[in-house]
Amino acid sequence: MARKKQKPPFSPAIMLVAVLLILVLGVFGVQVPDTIQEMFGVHTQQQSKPTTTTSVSSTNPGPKELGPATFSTNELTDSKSGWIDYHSLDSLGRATGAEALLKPAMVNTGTSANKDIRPPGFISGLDPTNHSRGHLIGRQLGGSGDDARNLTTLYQTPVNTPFMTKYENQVRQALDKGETIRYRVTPVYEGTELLCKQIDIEAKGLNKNTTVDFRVTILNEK
Amino acid sequence: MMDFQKVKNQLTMYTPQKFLTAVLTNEQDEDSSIIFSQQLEKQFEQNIQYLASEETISSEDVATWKKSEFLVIAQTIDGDYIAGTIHQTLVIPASLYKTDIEVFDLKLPDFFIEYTNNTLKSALLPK
Repeated sequence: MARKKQKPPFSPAIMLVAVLLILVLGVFGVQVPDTIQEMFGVHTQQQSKPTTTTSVSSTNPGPKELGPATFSTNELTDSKSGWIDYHSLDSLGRATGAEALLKPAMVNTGTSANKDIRPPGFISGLDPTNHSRGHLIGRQLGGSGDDARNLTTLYQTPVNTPFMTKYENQVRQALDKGETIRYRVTPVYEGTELLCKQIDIEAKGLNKNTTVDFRVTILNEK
Repeated sequence: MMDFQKVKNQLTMYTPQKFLTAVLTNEQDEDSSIIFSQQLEKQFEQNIQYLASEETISSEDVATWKKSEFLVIAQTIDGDYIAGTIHQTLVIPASLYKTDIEVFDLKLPDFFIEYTNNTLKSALLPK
């Protein structure tokens, strides 16, 4: 049965002006209440903002979630056992990235950061530097603390903990449920700066019903 | 490395807070794997909220421990926490995973004496 066409509540001229006004306001980021938008048959979507958390730091804006991971089909090839591939140090001795295929058996097989390894830019002591020898592939995920290629200087709080830990925990949860996770961590440096500007993390579960599929950027700031 | 036997001898009465206060009167090794601080409690509790999940420590867990004077007194090179109660020492991973917490039936001074003597078995503590 055909639906009866409803007569608009306003004249076409008023409708046109109102619609244009709502759209223009939307362009400038002004959100007109949904009820008014519905009245004129338009809907402007609020621009989605990256997920950020500021509660644990007054200056670091928190992780920016950038959507699903970007692994190619080839990169998502499964294998019987897991693996970790640390990229080479660059000419300044900085860790440049690590890739992994994480399996449940790898949980908690990593090692603590070796005190004798001092990643470029690292200064000892909790305060005021707050530096850590940050694992690219976290210890709980099987990452080595004895391989300089897996350690980069990060601010312990809030970057290493809790920001990075939050995403490592998500991966850990999936591994504990028996999943296999493709994982990549990349420190991004600006020029010859010894401390990375940010850490990019990507993770994707290989199981059909996986809950892990993310790409996130964490600024290396206090 | 700090002389924890000496710190223990300084304590007329033991509580985690008294131990931490005594430790902080000593100079800490700049490149130590474990850093003692009075400022960790707030950060620890913020992280409990931030990392909250079924697998991680909850505020209720901490409230229970606090009945035994639970106090976070140090952080390791890996961001793990060392906390004490009246009777025990807990090594809490940065992940705050409950299943990964190591509990030692040692008061904090004895725990650190054993740690410096390399007689503790731990998957979390720096070697």
